[in-house]
This record gives sequence, C-alpha cells and structure tokens, in this order.
Amino acid sequence: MTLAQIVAAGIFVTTFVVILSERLHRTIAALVGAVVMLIAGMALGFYSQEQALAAIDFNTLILLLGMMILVRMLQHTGFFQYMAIKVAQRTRGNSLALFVALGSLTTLLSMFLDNVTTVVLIVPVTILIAEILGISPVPMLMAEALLSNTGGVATLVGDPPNVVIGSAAGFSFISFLTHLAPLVLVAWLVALFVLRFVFRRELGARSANVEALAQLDANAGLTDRTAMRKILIVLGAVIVLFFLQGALLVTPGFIALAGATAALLWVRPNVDETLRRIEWGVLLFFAALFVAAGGLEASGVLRTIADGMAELAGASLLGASLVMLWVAALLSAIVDNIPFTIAMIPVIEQLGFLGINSTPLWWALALGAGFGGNGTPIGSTANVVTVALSEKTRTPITIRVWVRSGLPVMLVTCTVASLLFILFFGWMQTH
Amino acid sequence: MIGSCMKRPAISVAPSTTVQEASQLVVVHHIGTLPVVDARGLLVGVVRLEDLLQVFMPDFVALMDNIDFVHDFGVLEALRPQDVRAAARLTMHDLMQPPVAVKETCGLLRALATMSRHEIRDLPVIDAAGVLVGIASRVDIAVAFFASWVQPELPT
Repeated sequence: MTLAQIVAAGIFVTTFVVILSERLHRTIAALVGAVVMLIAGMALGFYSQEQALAAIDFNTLILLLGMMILVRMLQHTGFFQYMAIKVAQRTRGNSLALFVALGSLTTLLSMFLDNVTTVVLIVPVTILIAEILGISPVPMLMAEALLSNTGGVATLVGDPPNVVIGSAAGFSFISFLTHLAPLVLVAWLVALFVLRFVFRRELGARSANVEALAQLDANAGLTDRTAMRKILIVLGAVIVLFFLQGALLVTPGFIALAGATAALLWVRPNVDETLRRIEWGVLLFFAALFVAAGGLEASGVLRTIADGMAELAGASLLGASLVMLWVAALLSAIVDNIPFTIAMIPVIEQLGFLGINSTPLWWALALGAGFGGNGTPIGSTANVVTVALSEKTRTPITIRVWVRSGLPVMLVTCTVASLLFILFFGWMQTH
Repeated sequence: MIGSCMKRPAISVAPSTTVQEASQLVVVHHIGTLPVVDARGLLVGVVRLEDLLQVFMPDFVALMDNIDFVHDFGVLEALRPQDVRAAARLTMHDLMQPPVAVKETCGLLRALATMSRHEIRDLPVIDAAGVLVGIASRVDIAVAFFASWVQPELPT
C-alpha cells in the first residue's frame, strides 16, 4: 500500500468509527472526514477539489430532496394519521389483525416514502390506539420499524442505500421492482410470521374497549383536505413517472424534484416553513460521505479491495454476491448502512471495469444493507426513532425486546434472501 | 405590592414528598401549585398540577400534536390514580420544575406579567435569603389590582 492509500483509508475508517461512536453528530463527523480527506488528498496529490466535487452524486441528493419536500408537505395535512386510524378501525380492535394491518400500512408507505417519516408519524397513532384499547403497543411498534426497513428494500426510492445504488448502477425503478420486490414480499411474509411467533402472548390479548377505537374521528385528524388531495395526485404522478423513467430517459431525481416543484406551485404552502422541515443535515451527510469516499477511491484503496474481490468473483460470482449480502447485512446492523453503501459503490464499479458482471453484487448489496438494518436498535434510523418514541411511554422497547424480535427477523430474512438469490441467480445477473 | 395580597404561610412540599402525599394536599387544600422547599425552607422548585397529572396522562397525549379526533379515551378513562405504578416510585424531586418566584415588594403588574410570561397560575414569594414566605394566585393578585376600582358590595 502507498502512503496515500494508508492515509485515505485511515481518514475514512476514523470517520466511520466516529459516526458509529455517536460522540459527534454524524453530519459534523462526515463533514470533518470530507474536509480532512480533501486536505490530505491535495497535500499528497491523490485527490483534487474538482474530483471531490465530481464524487458527489447529485442525482441521489436531488431525489432525496424532492421526496423530502413531498413528504413534508403531505405530513402537514394529517394524511398519515388518517390512514392509520382508518386501517386500524377495519380490524375492529383485534390485536393480531391490528398488528398485521399497521405493519402492512407501514410497509406500503415506506416503499415509496422515507422510512423515518413514516415511522415518526405512524408510531404515535399506534401508541394511541394500543392505549385506548388496553393492549401492548410493543408488537405493533416492532412490526412498524422492522417492516418499514424491509419494505424499503423493494423499490428504488424505498430507502437511501437503494437510491444510491440505483443511481450508481443506473438501474431503473422497474428493475428494482422486478428483482427485489418479489424477494421482499417473501421476506416480509416470513418476518411477519417470525414476529407473530415471538409476540404470540401479547397478540393473544383481547382488546378491552373496542368502541373507543370506532369513536376515533379520522376526518377530524385531517387538517388540510384540499392540500392532501393535491399532494397525493402529484405523488401518484411521480410514482407513475418512476415506472416510465426508463422510457423517458430522465433520472429519478429529476422526476422527484419536478414533482416537488409541481406540488409547491399547486399548494402554495409557506415556503420558508416547508423548507425548514427538510433534513438538510441528512443531505449534507450524504454529500460529505461522497467526498470522503471519493478520496478513498482516488487513492486507489478501493481498487485494491476490488482486485481482492475480483479473484473471489472470478472463481464464483454467486459466492462473491452472498459474501457481499452478509457483510453488508452484518455491518448495517451495527452501523449506519449509508457510509458502507457509499464506500462499496466504487468497489463494485471497479469490478464492472474488470469485466465482471457486477449486477448481482448490486442486488446483494441492496438486500444486505436493507435487511441487515433490522438486527439492532441502531441498525437503521427508523429503529432509532421507534425506540426513542417508545421510551417516552410506559412500555419502552428494550435491547432485550429487540434481541428476541429484531435480530431473528434480520437473520431469517437474510437467510431467505440468500436462498432465493441462489435459486434465482440467473435472474439476479440481469437488471 | 404582592406581599399584601399573598397567602401565608404557603402550603409546601419537600423534594422527598411522594405523589400520593402531594395529591392529598391538593385534595385537602384545593390548590394547584406546590412549592418545593428544602430543609432550611429555601424554595428549590415548583410542582404544578399539570406536572402531577402528567404522571397519570396517557402516553400518546405527549406524542401527538392533535388529539381533537380522539372522542373517547377508552379503557384509560377507567384508570384510577392508584392503578398507575409509576406514581408509587416518583417524588416531587422527579416532577419539580425550576422555580419562578418574586420578592414581597414586587408590584402587582410585574407579578401578573411574570405569571403570564411563564404560563403559571400561582406565584411563590420569597424573602431576600430565598426562603419561601407565601404564595399568590392569579386571582389573588387580580382581586388586589381591581379592588380600588370596584365598590365592595355592602352586606345587606
């Protein structure tokens, strides 16, 4: 290894560890990593400012920004609350039905909208419903956190690693649906059964007051019906355009931002207030990580890793894919899956340049990064948020609860994904 | 001045007072604010009725912006204070907020403005050493303020 490679790897790993330790806000940690990487790169001559700028994947940032604007506008109308109440009322207070219904709603919403927002908005309503029914909210909350991560794997826009992978690999929205959605469906069913088994005692409890659930007035929860209708129409159009994206030859980022623009034009919200609710810190975190990972790539470290993987992939592409899936899963369980995904991108791209079919590796990365996040309470932001919200209640989700429910879900879904991956490996080699 | 319209001595609690003992004072004296004093009588905190009731509130109330659509609290309405387990282990030390207090010489308008700014209904009064000497409610102060303007009705 050259000095540049040692320095670049040192900076990136330190950034990774600092993000993991949570001693510093992750956005600051990533920014420091990016700045130090660029200084080292210019001093040692392996990384320039132009390269750093080029390393930022603006399609990812714009796609995230566009979807954030749409979700923030929709959130304000009370739509999520309305949906959760409507779905819950259909179950007539049966705790098992409620568990399946709220879990499925979260999965469906998180396939298209950002997981954290979905969870932040659905969890309080779930706690409300569980409390007035006199049942434990824990199985529902765990289902929401775990199934939002699982559902997010199914689409190009479902979770941030997929956005990054789709953009880097150039996979279309339809391609994600045809390759990952069927796997996710099976994994989702399995996850639901695992949770049903783990929480069989809680889910057997009878609701003490079903009338109170029927008394909830979903319509009164809607604060702005007109705006909600408009934003849902725009969101529907955006999803339709995602399907046509391949034929239209436009990027998903452009579609999302155009959609957000249309919604802003049509609804005319208070722009300052809407923009204040955007998680700029998250976007900056991504940009900084792209710059830091770009330095790692420019130094040649990732090429060394790619060369190592190329040997393995040359011997067995399936083996390399499964290694990718499990390494991504295990790392995503203990750290944020975004830095790892961003660092893996140049590695897989490099394998492509070496003449290896990198397509199955991309799918394996998406599956591992997505399902792995279920393993621990810190595996994904949705988990962190759910645990934090539950800590404000009398039935907090403890590590023990997570180890007996989240961890088995992660291990079982990754195993199921691996088996299906082996079974349909031919299909996984296409995109 | 607030010193002339406050109630003295104020009914107060110690940091170690339990939720049940505090609720007993609320019931017996029909009061909404409990100043917390240490062994030397120094005002160290204030427990408002809201803080005390928070222990018994459903969890979702704190988590949701809007609860207007919840027309029925269901099984929660059947809850008795003694059913809430957390209440048994909490003391005033856990519930108290930093105190907002004034000196006896504080003017009535300043007292009313202070209460309005801090969204409190009762204002503890302390001496120069910080020892609790009395407490005035918003009504006590407003009554003192309007007194010179309103003709007291003569008993018939």
